[in-house]
Amino acid sequence: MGVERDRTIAMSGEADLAAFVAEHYDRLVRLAQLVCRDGADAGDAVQLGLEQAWRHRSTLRDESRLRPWLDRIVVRQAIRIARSRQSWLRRVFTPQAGVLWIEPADPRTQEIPAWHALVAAFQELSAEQRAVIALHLYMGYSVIETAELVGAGVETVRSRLRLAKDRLRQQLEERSE
Amino acid sequence: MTTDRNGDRFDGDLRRFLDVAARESRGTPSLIEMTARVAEHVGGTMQNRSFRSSSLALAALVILLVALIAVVLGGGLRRTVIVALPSPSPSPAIAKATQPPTSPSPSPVEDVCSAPVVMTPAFDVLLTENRDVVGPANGRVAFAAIAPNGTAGIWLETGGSKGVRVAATIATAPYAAVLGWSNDGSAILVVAGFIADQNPGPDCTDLFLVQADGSSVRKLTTSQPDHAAAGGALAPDGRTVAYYSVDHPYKGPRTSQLWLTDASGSSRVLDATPRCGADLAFGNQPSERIVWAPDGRRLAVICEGGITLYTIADGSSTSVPGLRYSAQSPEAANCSWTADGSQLLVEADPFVEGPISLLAIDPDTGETQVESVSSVSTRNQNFPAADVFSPDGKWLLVQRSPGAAVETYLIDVGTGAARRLADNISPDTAWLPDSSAFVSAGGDTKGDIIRIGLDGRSALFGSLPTPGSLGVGAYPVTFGWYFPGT
Repeated sequence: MGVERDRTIAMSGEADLAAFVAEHYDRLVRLAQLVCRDGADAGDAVQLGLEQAWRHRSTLRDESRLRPWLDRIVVRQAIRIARSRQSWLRRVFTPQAGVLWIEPADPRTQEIPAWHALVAAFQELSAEQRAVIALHLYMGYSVIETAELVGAGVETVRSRLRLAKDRLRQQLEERSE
Repeated sequence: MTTDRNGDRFDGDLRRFLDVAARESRGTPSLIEMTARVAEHVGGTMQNRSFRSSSLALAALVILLVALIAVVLGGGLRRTVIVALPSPSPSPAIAKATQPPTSPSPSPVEDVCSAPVVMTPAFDVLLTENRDVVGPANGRVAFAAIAPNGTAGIWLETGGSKGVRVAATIATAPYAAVLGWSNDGSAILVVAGFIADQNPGPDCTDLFLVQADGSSVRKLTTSQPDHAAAGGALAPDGRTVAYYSVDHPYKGPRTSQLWLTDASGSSRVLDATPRCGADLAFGNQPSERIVWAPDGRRLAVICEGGITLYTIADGSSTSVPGLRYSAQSPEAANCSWTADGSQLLVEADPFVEGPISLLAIDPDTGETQVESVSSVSTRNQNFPAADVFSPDGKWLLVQRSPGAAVETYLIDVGTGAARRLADNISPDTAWLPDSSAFVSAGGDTKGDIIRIGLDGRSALFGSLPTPGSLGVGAYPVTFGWYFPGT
């Protein structure tokens, strides 16, 4: 009986965990993807965040704040991982493809489409800038909430947002001229 | 006001970009895998992180050793190494509770679908010589184009002196993409509609069958506020369409079914619970994810890195063994049938970043043969959807973006050898039917289509009569982006 009861409790716990992960998976992966710009890194960030949240869920007194709490944990993990990827370590371990180079023959193929320009410009933002962009413009948090989530001052977040948007806008304008 | 309008427009563009960028699912674990990973660790220690993190930790350990040696020798690596080391465990982050997020106030659900897409056949504006263009063997390219004034259309380009022709005009649809041709070149499958500006928000996209001669347009699906059609692929007969019908594409647990429908209006469910249909079911996902066999009797569907083969006649399905339905197996990124339908060519990416493999799979037995291993890695693969096999199966066109530039490679499927072409070729590409070249949307708003040969030489293939943003190049079955407002 005892074994059976333990098994039942364990299965119930697993079901709860599965439901917990399923409920937040999509949102968290998308948030982490924007910050990390790498699927596997985003997966790691979400995994770490979910583990951390699951372990400490009992400390959350107000269930209605579960979402921002989770977003905060995951976005910080994502920033940390993205930062580590920006190190020289990443460049050292980047494989170089051995290929035959063919000279481009038409200058029109050199013109970066606006989409490419945005992708490249977004990639070049810092992890912290991508995080505030993701939280504010994608997730819908206010600037004040975003500041709380990333653990920075409100003015710092405003500044990051402004700089990031200016940079992205500049890229778009340059390409569309 | 102008500045405000420009600012609003930029914010809108940026939100659309974020919406698409956030949904890039390449390399992310599936929900099932994530659940297993979390379950595995919450009961034990945090030491066994994912393979990538473990590898990084190991690499960091090696670097630490190097640093120690450097320190002993009086080198100055200490600071750098310490910065580069990954944190061994997550920092305690029980946050002070914050206010619930402000709703991003998306457009009301009803508004998204309340303005139905109006697509009009363009018979009356076609020139008579267009009738001479009898089929895709002539190398026609279909593409969606949207002019600066907001008018949109489905256009055909022959690459010859006849220039572009419009096959259909579209009203009130900010998003449109060509998904593919019928084998005889008579029909084009198009997805068009509204993509939510903000997340969460519903998409409202529908599938349309456009006659290439501009004589008719048939709407195949009818999206509802909480229900959309996406991911369509046109069968070689030009009549049957396989697509995903998605419930709540952005809200709650998404569900979807794989449907077959045809021009006569008859429909049936091919798979009521596809393995990961929800992940595929966005209007701007590549239609290569659903690939018809040349005889139209089978369907190959890529999801979660695995491939499911459906038999149309009886609805039965089977999974190709050895690909990513199991953890840490290679994953299928793209696939294409050989012309005789005897094999399925697959671009297989390793579980961890590394060289891609080209596989040939026997659809009857599931037997897999490695054709070659390429010198091109999966690293910096930001546009997996741009990887596309040539119609003759000899080449795989791939793109990588390690930095600001987008690199394009042609991989010889037989040998794995790669040629690097010009940088910054648009991911909107389409092979010509004879595999001698591919076309690419020009990189600006002039509406140029560029033809790029296997030798890397490029030339103007065609242009829109008026400047506009090219959305999608499409021949014979392809995909693409249209990024509204650029």
